[in-house]
Amino acid sequence: MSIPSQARYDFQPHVSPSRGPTDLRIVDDSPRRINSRSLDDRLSWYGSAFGSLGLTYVLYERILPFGGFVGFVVLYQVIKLALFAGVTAWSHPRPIVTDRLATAALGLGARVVFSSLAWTIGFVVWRGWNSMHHVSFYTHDMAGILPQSPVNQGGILHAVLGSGIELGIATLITLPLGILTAVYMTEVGGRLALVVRTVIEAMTALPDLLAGLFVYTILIIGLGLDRSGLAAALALAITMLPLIARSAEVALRVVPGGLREAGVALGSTQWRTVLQVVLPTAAPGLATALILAVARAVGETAPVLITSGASTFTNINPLHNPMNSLPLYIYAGLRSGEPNNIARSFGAAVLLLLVVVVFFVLIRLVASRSIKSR
Amino acid sequence: MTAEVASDALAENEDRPRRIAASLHPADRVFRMGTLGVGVFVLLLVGAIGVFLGLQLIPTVHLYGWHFFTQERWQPGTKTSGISAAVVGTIEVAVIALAVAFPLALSTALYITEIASPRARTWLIALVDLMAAVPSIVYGAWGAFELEPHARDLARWLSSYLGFLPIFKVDADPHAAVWEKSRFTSSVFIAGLTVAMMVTPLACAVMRGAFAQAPIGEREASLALGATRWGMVRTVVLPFGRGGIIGGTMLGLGRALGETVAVLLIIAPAFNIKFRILQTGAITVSSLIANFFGEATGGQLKALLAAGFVLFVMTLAVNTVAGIVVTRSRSGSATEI
Amino acid sequence: MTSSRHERAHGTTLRVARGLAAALVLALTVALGCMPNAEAAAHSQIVSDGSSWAANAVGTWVASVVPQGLQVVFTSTGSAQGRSDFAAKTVDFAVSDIGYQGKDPLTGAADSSSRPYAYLPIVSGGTSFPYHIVENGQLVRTLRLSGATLAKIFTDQITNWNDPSITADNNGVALPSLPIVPIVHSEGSGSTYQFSAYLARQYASAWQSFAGADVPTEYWPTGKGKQVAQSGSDGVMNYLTSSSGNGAIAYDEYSYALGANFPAAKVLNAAGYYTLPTQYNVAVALTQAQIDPNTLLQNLQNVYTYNDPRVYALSSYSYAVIPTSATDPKETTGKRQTIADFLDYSVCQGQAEIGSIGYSALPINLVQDSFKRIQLLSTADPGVDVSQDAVTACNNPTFVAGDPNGNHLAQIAPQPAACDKQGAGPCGIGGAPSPSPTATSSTPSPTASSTSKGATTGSGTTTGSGTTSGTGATASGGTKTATGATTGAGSATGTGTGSSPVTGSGATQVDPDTGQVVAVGPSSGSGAAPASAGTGTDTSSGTGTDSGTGTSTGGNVQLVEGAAAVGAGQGDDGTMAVLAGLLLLCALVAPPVLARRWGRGGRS
Repeated sequence: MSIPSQARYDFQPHVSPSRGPTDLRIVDDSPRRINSRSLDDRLSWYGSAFGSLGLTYVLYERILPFGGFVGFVVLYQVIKLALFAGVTAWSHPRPIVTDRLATAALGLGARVVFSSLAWTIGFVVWRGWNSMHHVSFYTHDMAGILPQSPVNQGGILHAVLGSGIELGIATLITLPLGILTAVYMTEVGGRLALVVRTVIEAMTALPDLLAGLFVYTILIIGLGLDRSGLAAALALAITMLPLIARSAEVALRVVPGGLREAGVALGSTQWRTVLQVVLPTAAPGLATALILAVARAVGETAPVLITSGASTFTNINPLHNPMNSLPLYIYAGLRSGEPNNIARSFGAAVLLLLVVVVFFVLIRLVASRSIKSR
Repeated sequence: MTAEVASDALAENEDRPRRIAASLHPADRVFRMGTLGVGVFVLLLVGAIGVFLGLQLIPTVHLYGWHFFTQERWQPGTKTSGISAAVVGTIEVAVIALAVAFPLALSTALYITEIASPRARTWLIALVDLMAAVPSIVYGAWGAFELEPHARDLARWLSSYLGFLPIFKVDADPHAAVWEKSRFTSSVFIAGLTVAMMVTPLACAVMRGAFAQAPIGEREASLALGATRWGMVRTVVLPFGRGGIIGGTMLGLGRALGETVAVLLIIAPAFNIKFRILQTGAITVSSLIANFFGEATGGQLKALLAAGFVLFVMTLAVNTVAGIVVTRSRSGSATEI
Repeated sequence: MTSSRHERAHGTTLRVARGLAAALVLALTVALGCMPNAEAAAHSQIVSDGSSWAANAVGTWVASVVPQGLQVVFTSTGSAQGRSDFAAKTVDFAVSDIGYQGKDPLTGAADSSSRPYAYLPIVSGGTSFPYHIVENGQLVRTLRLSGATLAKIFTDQITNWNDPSITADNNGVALPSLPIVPIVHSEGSGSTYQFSAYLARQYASAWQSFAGADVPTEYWPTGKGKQVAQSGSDGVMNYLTSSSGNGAIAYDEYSYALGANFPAAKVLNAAGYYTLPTQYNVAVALTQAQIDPNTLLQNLQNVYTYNDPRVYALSSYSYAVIPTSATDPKETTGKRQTIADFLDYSVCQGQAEIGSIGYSALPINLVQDSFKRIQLLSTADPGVDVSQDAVTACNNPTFVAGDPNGNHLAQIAPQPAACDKQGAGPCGIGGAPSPSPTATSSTPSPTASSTSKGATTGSGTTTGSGTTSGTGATASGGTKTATGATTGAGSATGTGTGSSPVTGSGATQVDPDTGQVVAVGPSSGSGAAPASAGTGTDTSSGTGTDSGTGTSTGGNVQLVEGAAAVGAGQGDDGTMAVLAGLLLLCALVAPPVLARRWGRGGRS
């Protein structure tokens, strides 16, 4: 039986008037705080943080043969944890030590994850800043511009337009198909619906590269279609369709059955119930599903790499001629090795990140509104 | 009232229950037919893709024989082309990514559910979802341009101090004053680190969802019995969320198997099966397809599709097992995976 | 649901509005989709891909023809993929270093086309050997290698830079002990073919023991020794120039080495001199190339062994593969017209642009042969107009008046320096004129977004930055070689002595080490112009390009126009941008707005 951490006790054998002989006399029995940090916690933590800094320096620079900044940081973390454990062990029993050590370790893991995220985003923004602050970057395309041209020439207009058009076409295809399939699975049901659901769940595992390869083989090689925006949009649609169908199905399933029954009880037909009760109720969930799928598809490079070409011209005709898109532009620019091209690619990557963040915020807004209005 | 009123009247001395036939409104019939049609169409569409990919195995085996799955090198034009090096490379990258991502995702998920304050929790959850939403090309750019030199140094460190382990050996002397950087770069290790960035938020989200559902009663009971917070986590949350942990990890594994662009940007193609993860040269199925689809003619394209099918089967198996594990676990019923 | 009728009306209105919005978006998309791209009439956009060896030249031409209304999309994928895409009818024309082989000699990969085609040479150049050796913190720039040593390096027989053969090639100057990392192409590449053909011919035993057969191939046998395979010339150069590439050597066209400002090894020729693939040396070498009169394909065996001291042995031509069938399902009149006009430009005026970036202009007789091939497009489709300029109007630096078989570049090619002879030198060590491209610059080149690569180009006329040719060897008939100068990257006349640009009056003297213009010569007086032209270093207005000289080629004028035209042509794109912005806005804003409306509509 573990002992409350905040209790103080003494081991004088004595006889308690009410309970007879005991070995322990509780002298302090305040409620145990689980999540708070006492002065002891804080001092131990900061003390070991500073102390381990010095210790690490001594070990690292003078004694151990390692070098470099990264190694220093790693060793520092390790020594900090060890020191923290040691300081805690000095005056606390073992469960407390493991608790603090585990908490510190979890915090370390979380810090690593979030700092890598910050590192990634910071790096991309830093590299992309050179090209991003030119207005021409957003209003020009790369027609007639050589890769080695300075970053104030040329831009990513063609890539942005291409992404928008391809996504628009893919959404137009998959949204009705996905929602109707979800309606089928939830409203109509039956054994076939189970099969459909299983197959759709299986297809969410399809790597997006294979969707592109499928379109390439069947449509471009087989049917002789151009490598065009339409082919890329179809590949994106194949990627998005299982996602939308499954998320929409979840959103529809969450609608309480009581609403449906109420609609039927009032004499409505099933299709009217679906159209006027179920769909509107599930609308925020459906919108979330759509935005999630679009946010995922906007960053897909592999399918568009195979089905469309990295052209430098603005092309708004999805049926003919290669249509560039943001991820493809970024990929082609990064591979080219030209520093200015790479700078432009990083600028485009920042724009892509911004688009994803905007989608993200939209999802949060929609979700929070749906929660509020419930 | 009287028996004669009922339309489907009972025959004399007979006592059958009245059949209640629900006849569909014609509009509903159309509705059900319509959605059934759409459902079947979508089923056929997505099913056709899987079937089409699978069918490519036949001409491929016909052309290259079963050695297609055991031959290391992808050699277009010869009869001895194969994908075994690519499959092994894919698994290596995925395993490295998981090995890095698993502890990170677990600790982040636990931190978010157990340690973070409620106000910070919303932000941290949003951050993790944002991390999952960042496109893979961005991570690939970061991996190739920023992480690569650091990871290369780390590889050298690992090779010099842990080089007695066979997986950390490199065919160059890491202790040399001028060490051969080219032997430590463009490896599965660096690709695995980059893919880990993509896998971590995915696994973390699933694990977090599982941990958040640990029953509050059990938590409070363990705390009331005097357990510390970590003790409570260890005895209540982790066992409860075991399904989520495994499921999230396997979902991340599925994502790592299929990752294309980040791997493309980082590795230098080399067609040999080796387990030295720090050494240069690697190939995965998706980067194989992306590199060689353009030159592939006829039979080679079918072979690439067959390789893609193998990848698809691996990912599908992993995802299915993940789904089963999650839904069957205690935390699974409402966890979305 | 309370007030259900009101809600129903509201809901109906919403549905109608939603339907209208969807229809509008759909109509807009379709309308925009069906609108033709803004381009001149009778031209359609054409798609091509192929050789990365020739990609820098083709890319320059693609940028130059944009002001003429020609839209060409070229992707550098490798010769093998170019030919296979052409055969699969996914591109309109291809660029390839070699012709269809039937099948690859080494790997047996199928390589043929049922789509009728013709070849025409479009560019010539040399396969160079860029290397990355850092000694004492500095990049070594004086390396020379003989063919035998190169063969041993790339067949894994020599593995360290301090090998005695390399020291012997460098006349006793030894390099530090550093493992060699040969970088090879992982894709089917024409560069691989040219190099392996040279090896198979000249060093057959070494090549045979390495590759297994004494035949050239487009697919380098990868995975041997410490060789690193990278995809594409860009990939190869990226790896070479990265910090991991210390000790690396690669094979690729000379423009890549120049563009990255990395040195290329001088190769020993049959006459005992070490040379670089400058436009002169390549021109001299290719006078010995045998061209098949029917296919125009090349036989280079005499080029390897030509004993003129100026020769660079690994010189070759690169070709365009054009569709010649009248019933080609992919080609329309507009596309054929664009192919014809683009290739007309490429083999005519375009030849003046590529000399300074690391290629060599075609001799006139080949230009005329190419013209004849281009006319096949008109034969296939009478709607195509292929009236071409006379060859004299091309401003081709190889043009010799009155002698259609002569090559002016070959005639004026300078002899190599004495220190380049076997047994002497090597040049650049111990006081010999260093072939460093970053010579004395009288004007600091603006850094802007430039990095260390090729940013400085010697002469004071540089504007802009980050351009390629550090060692812009100009002096080809006074062409300014504004390399890719749409950016006003300035007339890069990287010179050894920072002199001003030279006109083509034949009095040019060239630094024998680098083929760069050394002597001042009769300047056309445009020397200082670019630096002070317009906004000098500001290239955004496109006035920074050096076009002051009257002797500048048509290419230059085009480039200036190009800069202006690019500015003008953006007006259309402005409208497109607004429309697309509206579309994106609808896509972004509509879901949550509609969700909110539905939400409100569904609840009381």
